[in-house]
Amino acid sequence: MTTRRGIISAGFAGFLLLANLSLAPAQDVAARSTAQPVVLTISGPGGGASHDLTMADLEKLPKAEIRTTTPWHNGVQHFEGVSLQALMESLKLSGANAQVTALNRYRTTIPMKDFSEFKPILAYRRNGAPMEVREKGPLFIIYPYDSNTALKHDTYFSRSAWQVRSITVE
Amino acid sequence: MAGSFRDAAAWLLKQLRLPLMIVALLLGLAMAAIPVVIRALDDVVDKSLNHDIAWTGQNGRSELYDLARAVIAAEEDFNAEARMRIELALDIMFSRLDTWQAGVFGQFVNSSPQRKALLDRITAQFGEFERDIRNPDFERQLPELRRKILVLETAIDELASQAYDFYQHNKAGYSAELRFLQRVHNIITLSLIVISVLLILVLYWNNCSLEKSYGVQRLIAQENAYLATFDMLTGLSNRKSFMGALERAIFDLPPGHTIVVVAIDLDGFKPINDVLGHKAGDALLAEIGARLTRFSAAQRWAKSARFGGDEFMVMLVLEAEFPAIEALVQVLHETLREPLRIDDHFLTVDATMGLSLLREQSLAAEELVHRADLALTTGKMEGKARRTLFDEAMLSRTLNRGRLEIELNEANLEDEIEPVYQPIVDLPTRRIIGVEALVRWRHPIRGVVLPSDFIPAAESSGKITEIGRIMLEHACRDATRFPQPIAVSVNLSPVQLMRMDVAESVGRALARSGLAPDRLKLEITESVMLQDSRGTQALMRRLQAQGVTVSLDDFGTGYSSLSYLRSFPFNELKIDRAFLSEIGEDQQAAGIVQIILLLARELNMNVVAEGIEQEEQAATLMALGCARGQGYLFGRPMGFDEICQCLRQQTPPPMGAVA
Repeated sequence: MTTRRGIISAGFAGFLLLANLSLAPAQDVAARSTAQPVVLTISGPGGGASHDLTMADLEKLPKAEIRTTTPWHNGVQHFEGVSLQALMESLKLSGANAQVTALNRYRTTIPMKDFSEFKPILAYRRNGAPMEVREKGPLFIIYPYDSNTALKHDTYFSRSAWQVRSITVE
Repeated sequence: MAGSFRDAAAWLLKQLRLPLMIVALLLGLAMAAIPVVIRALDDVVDKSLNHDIAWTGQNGRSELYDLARAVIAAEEDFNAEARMRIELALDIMFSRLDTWQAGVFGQFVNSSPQRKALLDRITAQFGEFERDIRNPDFERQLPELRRKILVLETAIDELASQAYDFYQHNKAGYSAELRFLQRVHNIITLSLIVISVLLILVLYWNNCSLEKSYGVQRLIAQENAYLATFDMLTGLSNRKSFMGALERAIFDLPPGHTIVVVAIDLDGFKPINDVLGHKAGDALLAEIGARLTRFSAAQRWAKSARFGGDEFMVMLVLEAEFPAIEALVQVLHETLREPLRIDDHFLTVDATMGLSLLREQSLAAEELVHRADLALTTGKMEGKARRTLFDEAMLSRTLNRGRLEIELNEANLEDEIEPVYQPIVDLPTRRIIGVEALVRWRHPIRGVVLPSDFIPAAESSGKITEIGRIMLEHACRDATRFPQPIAVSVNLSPVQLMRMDVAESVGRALARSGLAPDRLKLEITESVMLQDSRGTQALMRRLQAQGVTVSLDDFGTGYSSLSYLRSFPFNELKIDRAFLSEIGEDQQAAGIVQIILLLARELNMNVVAEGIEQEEQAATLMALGCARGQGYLFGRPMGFDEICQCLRQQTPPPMGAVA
């Protein structure tokens, strides 16, 4: 287990370099490798200011929890993370849609009103532990599927992006 | 008809009960089925919309290409970044494998051992890749890794395409299931609509029949209202509604108008009822009712009612003075008097009427009716078949009667009741051949009270029997002291006959006085025979056996049935004064008297003509062959001393002249 974890951490660092090539201006890689890694980049509409957030930044925000079954896991899962609505409010971002891009180049568009209507979260822990890339981590958009049958639908399953890397508000 | 409709409706309702219950049961079943069907529909929709596993499979392929591209890039330029890229792609690939092993895709994989084996092989391959990456000479193994990845591509393609097929197959199944459930849903909906329509029809029918039965109820209510307001037999109003109408008339009385209340009592209704039967009596009342209805209908403001028995009440509101009122009431009287036919009998009934008038709102309806009744009673006492207008004296007389009853109870009747005597004469010679004893009450304060004033009180108080006994004994006693041995006649009222043992009283009076029985005559009226003909017949025979004679008083005014004369052994007939008053001018009256005389002669009865006041009457009677008379012409009723004096003045009769 420990070895695997090492590889993943290393993979993370590499990924961050790759990802930043396109998402953000060139950064001091050496400086970044010593500091907390950026896990999420959120940019405002019209190419406005972008926010690079570390896991610590996210954990500072009020924690939200969802207990639900999903199509990708067996049994009820306990997700902890930050409410997407609260996250957007904290960054004072608003718009019609949020364009989500994942590490596996998966892209999905979530209407911003979903955030207030269904209260989905950007989960960073599953069953009490941080999620690795192999476990669809580090960030996973989770809707409370069990509490609203309307959410048990491909529309919302397809909005539930895992391995989330960036969100662009449009 | 109303009843038969109600029966039919009740029957139909009963018949409908079972079908209604069945419909209700079906309705319940349909309602219970709806949630089940809807849940099944939801399930199928859920399943059909479930996560697209085909897509998950496809994504796996693109992630594998990413890994392959990362390896190719590393072959060209191997550095830390390229290595990291491979590691990341591998992590993502592991994540994909994780997705395939759990959740919906996991179920799909586990549903087939081949697929499970396939996925196990793929997983094992990636395990190898992970070990390879950690190898120090990883760079040299890159071409080999690329080859292995390409081999793996086939396996992943296989899995992805199987997921696609599985998904498509399921989708077809779901849509078939959906269609089926939708059909079931449609059938249930349709049957609900049909049941609703049926229920609405039943409701409508029920509503209609309710309305009809409401109509029937209303008819019944109207009938009841009619019964409460009208007299069934005659169709006239009853007492209650008459009083209501009278009250309203008094309240609404316009100035210058007079309310006339006419109380009507039919004369001779009782014998018709007795002789012809109740049915005929009812027919007579119905006919009188019809006449009153017609009469009322012809008036501007009138109402007729039957108060019970043969008593009727008519109310008229007229803008007229008394002569016109009297004329109208006379028209009413004539209407009632007209002969009528009941079955095969032609009958004439007369009516006695009492009138009370009201010109202002000074009296209550009850009082007005009471006054008309009082006038009627007075009229009946005065001889029936007449119209009597109420006057205040009648009120005081009624009040008087109550007082007289009390005074009769307190009076010393032995001393205060005494007879006066009116002569009965032999017409040709004018000799007194007998006297009729008439009762007087010598009241200590009032003075002499006439029988018409105190007999009603005596009858209602029960003192009548005592008075009758006193009269009988007193008259017999007096007769023994008459200067000449003439006959004495004593009246027996119907009440006396009913309440006292006449034969015994007569026997005792004769025995005490020592009067010869053949000098005592007892006068009775027809009404006695009507009430108890057998008893009267027996009584007459007992009296006659004692030697007493019996005469029929007031003959010609009542029913004067010839059969009475045959079956009752009267010794004497007394022709009523009514015939005498007309005998001078009216040929018919004379004819009737003549026939009565002939009849009496045939039946061996004596005849006395009553009420002779003029010489002409006496002459006519004599010419007709009537031998005896009584009346003011020959002498008024007089006291004992006076009659004795009269008797002394006339010469003694020839021997054997006494009747």
